[in-house]
Amino acid sequence: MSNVSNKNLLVVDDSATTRMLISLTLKKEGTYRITEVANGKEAVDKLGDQTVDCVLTDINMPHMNGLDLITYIRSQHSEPKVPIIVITTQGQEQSRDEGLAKGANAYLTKPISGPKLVSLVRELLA
Amino acid sequence: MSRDEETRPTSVSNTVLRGRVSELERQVADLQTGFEMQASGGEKALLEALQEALVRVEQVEKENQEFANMYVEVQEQNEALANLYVVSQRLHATFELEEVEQIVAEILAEMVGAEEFGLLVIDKSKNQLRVLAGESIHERLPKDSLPMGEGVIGDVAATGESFYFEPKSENEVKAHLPLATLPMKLNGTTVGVVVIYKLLSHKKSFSAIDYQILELVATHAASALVSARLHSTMGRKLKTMEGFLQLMKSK
Repeated sequence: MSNVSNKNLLVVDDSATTRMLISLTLKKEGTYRITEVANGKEAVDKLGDQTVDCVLTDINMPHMNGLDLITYIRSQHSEPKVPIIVITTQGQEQSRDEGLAKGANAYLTKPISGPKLVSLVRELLA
Repeated sequence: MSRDEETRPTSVSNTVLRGRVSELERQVADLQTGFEMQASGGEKALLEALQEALVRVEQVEKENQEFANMYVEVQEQNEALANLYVVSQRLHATFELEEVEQIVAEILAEMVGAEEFGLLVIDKSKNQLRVLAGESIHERLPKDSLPMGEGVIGDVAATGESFYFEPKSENEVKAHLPLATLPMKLNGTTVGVVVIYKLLSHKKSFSAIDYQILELVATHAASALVSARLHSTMGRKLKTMEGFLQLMKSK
């Protein structure tokens, strides 16, 4: 099994409740280092400051939405490509598909299931 | 990925184990057939030892399954605890009334999966409930207020008893009754009501953890809302007093 410990995860969501739930669920799984930001613009700043191994992003956010964030990340031509997980709510299927088309690796639908989240992150970081 | 798939490694081990047990059983049967007539004392002892080993393998397989079930149970409990922790932390994260309303809305929408819901508070002076916040709630309650004791919501507010409804037929769906109506109580007194009319389409009904979240929201939202109101009132009074003091000083 690959070592997924000490990986840096960036959680991007304007809902502090969702950020807290994602962070708590992943933190108790191991030694992930998790950074939380509220929108795409703040995420871009963090991506410039630190190495990120996986990005979990909401779609609808102020200042810079999730789709623009995915476009930005994929335009950076980083190798290996940073895995991106899109977090959507019901009714955002079009945005979700657009996110996947722009280069996101997977998606999760709210309400987020803890086991699904954990296994997906493990899978993408393996 | 489903919960069953979460436990797949254990299930695979069980399948392999069962395969081995079957193989060993076949071998034992062969040994019994072949050796029974001509087996020496040592060989008979070996056969018995093998049969004992088979019984032990079955026991281990059973224990393995029990551990797998316990693992799933612990995982579910962990998830429930994480959810409840987040709810209580978030509801007491602020004294700002608008933020409390927003947090309740976030919890109902993003953790419970509610699509149409509302938060109503009791206005004792008018003996009615007033809509404070929600999602698509004005389509359900166009008047913005309703009398205490009227309908399911008014009844829950008056009695302080939760009401859950799971429609089983098309006619019951058409009844447009709320799926969940919970009283927000503080020190045993109902101060408002949380009501959910519709869940997101991919969510067919409430899960076990949803009921726990809703009960927690109902309890903690009440204290969070009352605290925020008191904080707001105190802030206004403080400003008035400061203004009054400034006026006195200037004279």
